[in-house]
Amino acid sequence: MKKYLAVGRIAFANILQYRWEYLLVQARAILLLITLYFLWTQVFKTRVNLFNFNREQIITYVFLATILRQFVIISATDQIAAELQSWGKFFSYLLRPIGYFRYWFTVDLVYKFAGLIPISLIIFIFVRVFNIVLTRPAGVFYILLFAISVLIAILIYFYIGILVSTAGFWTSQVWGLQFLVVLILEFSAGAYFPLNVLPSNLQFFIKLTPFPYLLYYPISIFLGKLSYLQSIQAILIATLWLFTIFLLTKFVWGKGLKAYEAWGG
Amino acid sequence: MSVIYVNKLTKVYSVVQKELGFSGTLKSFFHRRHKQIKAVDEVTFKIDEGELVGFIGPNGAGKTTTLKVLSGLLYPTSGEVAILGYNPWQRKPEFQKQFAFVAGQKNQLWWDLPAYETFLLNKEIYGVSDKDFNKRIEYLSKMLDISDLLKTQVKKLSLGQRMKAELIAALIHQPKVLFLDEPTIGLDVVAQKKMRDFIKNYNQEFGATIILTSHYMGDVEELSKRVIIMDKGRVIYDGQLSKIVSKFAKHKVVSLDFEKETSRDQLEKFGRIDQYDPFAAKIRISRDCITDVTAKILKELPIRDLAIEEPPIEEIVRMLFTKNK
Repeated sequence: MKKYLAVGRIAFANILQYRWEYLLVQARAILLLITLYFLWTQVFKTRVNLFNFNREQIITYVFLATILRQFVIISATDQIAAELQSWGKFFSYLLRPIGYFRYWFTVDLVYKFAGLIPISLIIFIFVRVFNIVLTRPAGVFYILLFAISVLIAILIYFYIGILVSTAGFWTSQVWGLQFLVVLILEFSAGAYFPLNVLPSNLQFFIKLTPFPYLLYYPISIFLGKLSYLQSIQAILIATLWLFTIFLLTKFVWGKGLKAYEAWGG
Repeated sequence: MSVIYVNKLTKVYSVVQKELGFSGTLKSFFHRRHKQIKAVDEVTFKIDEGELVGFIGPNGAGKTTTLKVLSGLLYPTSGEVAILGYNPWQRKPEFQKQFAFVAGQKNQLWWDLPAYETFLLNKEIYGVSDKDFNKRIEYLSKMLDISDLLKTQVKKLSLGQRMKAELIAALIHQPKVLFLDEPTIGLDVVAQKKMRDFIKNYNQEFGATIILTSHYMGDVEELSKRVIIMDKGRVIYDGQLSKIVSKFAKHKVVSLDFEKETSRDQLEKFGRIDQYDPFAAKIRISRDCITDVTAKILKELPIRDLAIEEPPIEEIVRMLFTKNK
């Protein structure tokens, strides 16, 4: 346990070294939030209800999505690809008494909290200053279900991140792939708007993928859009996705390690 | 019991063969041809506690592959390996806590942070006590003369300074077995010398078992009594460095100083001339008849001084490698 605390400490020190990059990421989140806020406020100027969402609900959705995006989709796992390329560092972890995935999960958590805290503070101030009315969670049990679904979402994204990074075993051009995945993923996870906005056949298709379980379902649970039964069902499906992606990642990782062996003499 | 035990170790890589040209690229997209490459071929050796062994051989001889198998990064195709009684492939923490692998071209230090941060991380990873940690950092940084740079960002260090910091990071848990792969690569002469002195000292002070690979014969000559020479995946020599010469060199080198000008023609009948100017020369003379020939030289030429030397090790090793091609 102590060693993972040390990992967390050094990862945090590393984030602070890149303070400009860090501040830019925060600034981007805030800009996105402001854009979405004013967009939806305009949309709701002329109507009371849209796609089964009222004004408060949609604003709460946008705020929550922004916060959760920083927590679920912000991840350190994209750095694994670069580490695989400079293989000395990667090897040094295999040679030390520390679990590689556990090591990265620790770094990941540090990145998530570093991303979560500033955006939460800013939203808090924003809500106070502009007197924004938000929807409260539907009940204590819903909060609990929400927390569980977020936890599963974090794990799903952790393994997706590693899975994409394993491409680094075979090629040095991982950046483009990572960019594409995040783009598709944020769209279909519901990071910018609830999936209800989309045409129903597209919705149907997206709901067959694991992505909505990252943001859309947890937020829907929070807002009480799903019944208890539907919420539990969503959590069970998310768990199935987690296992599928975990096994797939393990499999591809093993293949990658094998391919790696053939490098250099 | 030996600390490092290797018996008939073989490692075969399967490498995809790309065919050339556009049609070849298309063909290999659909059907890949694999080629088996034997990087390590039935290698056997034992190393005892506290030994410092030099591992030499040309590029692609299989040195690094052997070290990777011995450290648990690669799974052997066949053969047995035991380090301190452990199978390195299992990567047991008990084994990893007694072992370190430092490679000149690779790094474990965090690039954007001071080296000291990585030391602290390793302290926890290996479970080193505060007392031991402080004592070792002080000792190592003093020995390597880098105490004032531990708080500087790693990326701002020079290559030599970084290499020293890498070494400290690898030695915080005081490994019993240490592999050094090209530790002096890219270092200037002064830094090389410092590094050698340190390795020698470390080996003597802590009785660590060390395998060292290097392209510089100087490293090996100065540090290790025993060498293992590899070429094309096989061990072609394992033994005392000093005995390589008598085993493989068929000749000795005789240096001559002359009283007065002596011509090439006068020398040629004694042996092959390596160096010549009218007042001094070096000739190669076969080992078997060295006494007879030197006696003759003393009698026939105006000699002021004569010395019989062994040919330089570097030359012998070069000869060994070219002979094996």
